[in-house]
Amino acid sequence: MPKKLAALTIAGLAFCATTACAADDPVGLFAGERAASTDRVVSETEELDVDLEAIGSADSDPASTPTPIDIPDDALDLTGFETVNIDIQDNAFVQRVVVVSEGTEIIWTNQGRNEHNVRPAIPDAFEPIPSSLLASKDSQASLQFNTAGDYPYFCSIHGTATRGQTGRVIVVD
Amino acid sequence: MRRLMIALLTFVLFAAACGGGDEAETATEPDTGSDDVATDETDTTDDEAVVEDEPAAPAAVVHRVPEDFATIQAAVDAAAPGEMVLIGEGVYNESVVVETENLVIRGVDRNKVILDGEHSEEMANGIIVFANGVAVENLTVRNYSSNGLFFTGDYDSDFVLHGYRASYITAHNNRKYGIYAFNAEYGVIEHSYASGQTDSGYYVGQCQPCNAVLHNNISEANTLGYSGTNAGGNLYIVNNEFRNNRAGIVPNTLDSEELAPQRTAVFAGNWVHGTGNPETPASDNALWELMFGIGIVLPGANDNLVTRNIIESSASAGIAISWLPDENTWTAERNEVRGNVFRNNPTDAVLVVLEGTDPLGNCFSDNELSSSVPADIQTVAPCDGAAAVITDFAPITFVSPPADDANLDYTLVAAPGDQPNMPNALTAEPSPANVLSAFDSFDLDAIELPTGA
Repeated sequence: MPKKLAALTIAGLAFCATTACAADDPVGLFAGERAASTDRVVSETEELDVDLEAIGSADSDPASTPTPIDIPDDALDLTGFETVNIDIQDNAFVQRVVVVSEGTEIIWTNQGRNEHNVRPAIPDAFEPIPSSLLASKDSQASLQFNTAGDYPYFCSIHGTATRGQTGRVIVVD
Repeated sequence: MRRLMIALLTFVLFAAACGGGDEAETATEPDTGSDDVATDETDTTDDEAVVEDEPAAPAAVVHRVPEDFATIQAAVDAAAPGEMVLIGEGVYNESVVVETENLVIRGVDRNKVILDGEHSEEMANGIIVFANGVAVENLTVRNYSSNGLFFTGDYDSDFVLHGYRASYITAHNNRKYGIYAFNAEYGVIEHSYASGQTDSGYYVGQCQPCNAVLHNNISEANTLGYSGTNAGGNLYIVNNEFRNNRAGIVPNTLDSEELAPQRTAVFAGNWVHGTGNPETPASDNALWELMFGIGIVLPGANDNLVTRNIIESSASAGIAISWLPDENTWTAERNEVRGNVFRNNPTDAVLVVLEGTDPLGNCFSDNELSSSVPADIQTVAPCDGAAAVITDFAPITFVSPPADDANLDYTLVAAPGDQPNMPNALTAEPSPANVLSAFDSFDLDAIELPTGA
């Protein structure tokens, strides 16, 4: 069985706590963990052109004006930003409901220890983000929302379309 | 001797008004329930105890799969609170979502009723439960791309799941957790077996107080035998066997979940052995790899009691108490390690404080151990006397985990053999997890050193 000397010392840990632990200076049980946490994985940005007519229109008259979107009181108004960040904890989207402008790029960042994904609650409303892109802490993935509409979504590992880890992007023009 | 009493019932007992159904029948015998954990039936004076003021519920309606419904999901969707879904032998490629309270979902044979996710991304969980009081019994969940059996509150709506039970469940080769309780309180996980998960066999996370008991379970060949992030408060991990995992029992604090720091759990009567097994899957989370070969690890954990366990044949150390760096740096404080037996570990006990020489209230007494860092740890940091200044900075030799390319894929961990069935599975009256009367009280004094060692 391979062995290494972890050099676990009280003095070493005290050093690690007050300085940035170099990756090649493995003092303490968690020195490598702290160094690794600064690494980030940035995924590709995908551009989408969503057809609002296909979203949530089952009860509406296609010839009429789309049903007004009900914006909850706790929604975050982030209109006017080109990019908006949504953090993911275990197991929740921290900024659960955001209101953004057309063309906004949403960046999800996994701040948790579990893997997560982003799936549209309305099938085919947008391209899902697979869990492979949000598999580890600090991993990121993004989507651009170019068309006004209501885009509820969820993590299929920790929720369903209506329960558990859910979120909403509301795009206004 | 201390006596800890917990009341695990604050539920209003469900007065089952079970309607009939064309596709259902009734069970006829009472459930023996969860009756083999130390309890004190004579003390019912705890303020949190609920007096049963309703007569026993009538015999429940039973929905059979596949006789009445082709799928488990269809039967679950058709069932009303208090009813039972009884699953016949077979392999079911389903991912079941439960949103009805107080159901019992039971297999007729633990080893022949198999929910199989086939490692499909589309089937993340074998069974995910969003409803209070659900009990899942006597079946196998395997090969799911995330979790075998998952009880969870609804974070976004501030719903904390209240009441859950997993009994006689076999969970193997699921990619993340075998049996997973998150944002959930008042639970029991018992007589279950978990192997081949890349995180932990059993996981209890984000609850305080948890009011939960894990007892008489086996956890084998997982990355972690048990993980409990930010979980504590009337949380008892007792009389379990953790064998041949990468790390054994790991209560921990992380910023990635609410309710940090982890605190106030009890680990008693467990047999932890063979920890540091390289023939196991590794986690994607590098943090856990740093704990490879340690039987019980308390990283950033506080106010826990570790008592009457046997921890032996670990590759690196029997127990380690340490600080943990996350977004915040979490110290480990006031953990009590008392009356355990350590055998055949390179180092039996390790205490790593963040800085300085104060053991931060962590203490060791009445343990059978032969080596520690700092040396003579029961004198340096006793539970019943003043702590000394830690001056021993001796390095410790830890065993490294296998290299990344040498780790065993979780799908390749050998499936377990047959596991014991739930008694009277065909006839026992269903008992939803809103009725956990056997855990009205918990007698820690009755927990003894494990006998299986």
